Amino acid sequence: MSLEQSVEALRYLGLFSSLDASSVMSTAVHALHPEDRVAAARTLMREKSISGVPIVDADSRLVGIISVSKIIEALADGRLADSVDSVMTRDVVFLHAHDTFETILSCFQRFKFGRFPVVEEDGKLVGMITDTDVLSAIIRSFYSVYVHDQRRTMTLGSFSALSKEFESSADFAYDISSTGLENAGEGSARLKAFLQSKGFGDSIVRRASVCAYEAEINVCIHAGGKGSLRAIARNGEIIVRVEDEGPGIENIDLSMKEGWSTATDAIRELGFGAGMGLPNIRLFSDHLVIISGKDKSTKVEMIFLADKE
Amino acid sequence: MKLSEVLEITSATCIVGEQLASIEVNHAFASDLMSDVLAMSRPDTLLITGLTTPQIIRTAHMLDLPAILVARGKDVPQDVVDLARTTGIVLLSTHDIVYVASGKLYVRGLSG
Ligand SMILES: Nc1ncnc2c1ncn2[C@@H]1O[C@H](COP(=O)(O)OP(=O)(O)OP(=O)(O)O)[C@@H](O)[C@H]1O
Ligand SMILES: [Mg+2]
Repeated sequence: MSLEQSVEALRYLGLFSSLDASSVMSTAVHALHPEDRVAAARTLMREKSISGVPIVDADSRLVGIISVSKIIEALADGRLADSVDSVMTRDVVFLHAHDTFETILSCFQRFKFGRFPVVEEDGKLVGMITDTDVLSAIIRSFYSVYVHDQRRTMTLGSFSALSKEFESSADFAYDISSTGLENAGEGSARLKAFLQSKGFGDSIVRRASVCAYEAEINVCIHAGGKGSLRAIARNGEIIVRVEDEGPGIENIDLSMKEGWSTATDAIRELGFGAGMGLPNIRLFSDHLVIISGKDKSTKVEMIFLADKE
Repeated sequence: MKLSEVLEITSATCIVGEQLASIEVNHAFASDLMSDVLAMSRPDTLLITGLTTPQIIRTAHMLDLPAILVARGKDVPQDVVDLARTTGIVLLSTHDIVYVASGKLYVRGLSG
């Protein structure tokens, strides 16, 4: 899968909805003033390994940018002692701090520059975004929660975020079948015993059991109590997958927020519906994949690594 | 704090696990929302709750909590008692409400 494809895929998945320029940019910015010498820009670029230097006025407002190619020109013309002001580009393409990830991406696509300054409403420079910053933002999104839905096959082709191991067999399997909450948690209790019998340590077993329990309870209170709980536990790694048959989660981003819940008062009286289940799972798992969508099944896969203890 | 002290301080009765009353807990956590409890990861904690559903036992079991103090003197259903017994969790019951039981234990040195 190429970078362009994965960006395309992630865009469809709405995974970038929470990313704006201020969360993508680097804030350790090296800027110069118009009256500084071109030589200073050259030194800065060399020392900081950067390919462009933003130029700001006395109030930190962005007034220009100077790139490597300008420096090379200035060098050829013997103008290193001139002021930055005389060689800088004045019509800078910049981003606003609240610009969406979409805007950032289209900026990179439309203008073939390697970096864009980010400014506040008042024009003050607050950061820079390079293609590396964009890439790390993408990678961070992948790592935190990787979510996707039916559009996945369209956009990601054969790429699968889920472990392939479950296709052949699982080390542990339990059918969730509960009307109401009476059996809710039975599967996780069995999983816990199974993991202990495999010799995993207390702490990883606790993490895996708590997360399996949260996911199992979710099947019981949000998905009609029908589903499965499976696990693969080998080589210091525990993979737990909990699946149900719907109705699915319409907005996964929202469901991951602490305190967000669609549970009824009746459920709350039974001790659930704090909107903390999925946040807990994210907290205690080392890797988390949630695949769902409106009127779709929900698959929650969590990985726990013994060496992360 | 020994569970026998918890018993005495809150005038509780032991529903399951008399023989285990010498177990120690170093913290307590009071809540009626299980996911709040599950967010905490400290095994040597006493769970204080006003609920009497099977999920209080499940929750304690997942977290390796040794004991639960049920507040307000509520009747604990037999299936919950049985579950506590099979999972090896001590179940105590006090007539105090959650707030009062927590306060009593806190002033006697059981921290949050
Ligand atoms: N398996 C599922 N099927 C459908 N919707 C789900 C599923 N799991 C979670 N959700 C949705 O995501 C929301 C958040 O889930 P989460 O587990 O974080 O909180 P909760 O279950 O509402 O409360 P808590 O887990 O604190 O008891 C739920 O309220 C529900 O709308
Ligand atoms: Mg939940």
